[in-house]
Amino acid sequence: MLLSRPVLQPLVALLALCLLPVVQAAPPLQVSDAWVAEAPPVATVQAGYLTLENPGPQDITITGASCPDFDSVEIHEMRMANGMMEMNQIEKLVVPAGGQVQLAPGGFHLMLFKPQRVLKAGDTVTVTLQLESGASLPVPMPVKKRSANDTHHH
Amino acid sequence: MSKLAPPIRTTLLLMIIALASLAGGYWLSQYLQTTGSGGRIPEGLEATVLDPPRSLTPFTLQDHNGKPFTEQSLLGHWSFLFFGYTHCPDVCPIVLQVMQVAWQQIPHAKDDPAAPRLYFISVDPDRDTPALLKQYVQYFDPAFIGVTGQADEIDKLTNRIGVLYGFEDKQPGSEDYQVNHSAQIILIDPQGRMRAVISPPHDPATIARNFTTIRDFYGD
Repeated sequence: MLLSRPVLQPLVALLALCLLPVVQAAPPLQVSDAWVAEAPPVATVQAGYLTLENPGPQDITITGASCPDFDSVEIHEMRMANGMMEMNQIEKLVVPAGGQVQLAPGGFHLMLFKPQRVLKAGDTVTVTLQLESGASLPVPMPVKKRSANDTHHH
Repeated sequence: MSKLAPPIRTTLLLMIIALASLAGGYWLSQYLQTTGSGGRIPEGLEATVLDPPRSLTPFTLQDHNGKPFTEQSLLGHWSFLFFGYTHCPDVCPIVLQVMQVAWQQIPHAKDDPAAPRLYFISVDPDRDTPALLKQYVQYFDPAFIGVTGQADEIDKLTNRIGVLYGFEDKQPGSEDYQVNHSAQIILIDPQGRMRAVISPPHDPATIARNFTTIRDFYGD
């Protein structure tokens, strides 16, 4: 044994200290199934979808989003009201502790305004989610063609 | 015992009357469904069939080539009508995608004037020009046809078939607003009458099966 116990203990403590900030800085928000629906080239809006999972012990709130390939990005919810599909902007999207929120066709979606270039299936855009904590989370989102089976949770 | 008998007898009598009424009602509904006096509806459908079908009142819109689109344009073939707008991020592209897939499952001959047609009718004529609509609908399927026109002419059609829409945050001169709208697909028969309503969630196989059942039942 090269390292005696009195030397090893502070080293382990130091190592733990180094790791701690890294663990804290990474937002415990996990993203899956992220994609942007390809739209007709004349379309001035596109929809982005993703699943957000929060395995942490505290709620995580998303307060905004941006993407260099679009003029602006908002979070919207489609819902049936008065016999019509209505779209409402969501100012703050809460991903509950230990829970998940699905942004999927027919429900929540990222509303991507005014594409700066024509996006085709196979392209990838990066949407940055702004969290209430001040942190931001870049999400690579591949562009895909819609399929008729996208609406599965309604 | 003898004291309780009259109420029991009354109860029994009421039950018999209720059962007889139920049976009679059932028989009547079966009778109406199978006789030629109207009320004939194919079975096993998710779509809501109108029997008798509802005739349309005159309206004048434009198709995506700028040609007049009126109630006469709906004669001689089955038509699917869907009402929306091209600035719609989610519902309209979903429905058009679903219809594109359903189209592959609906047997029809190309370039046959009696083949079914899909009309995407924009209720947002301020932003949706016929030229823009053409590019939009043909992205989904070259056979799809975009339609729009003056708001009061659109309303003649939507009011008649019960489709709802409304604008949100629409200011004069502003291009930045949303449109709420019904998500039903309306099926028009070759006599130009509203024959069925297909409600969301929309599924291509269900739409194709419902349509072929209705078409086979009522004929071209």
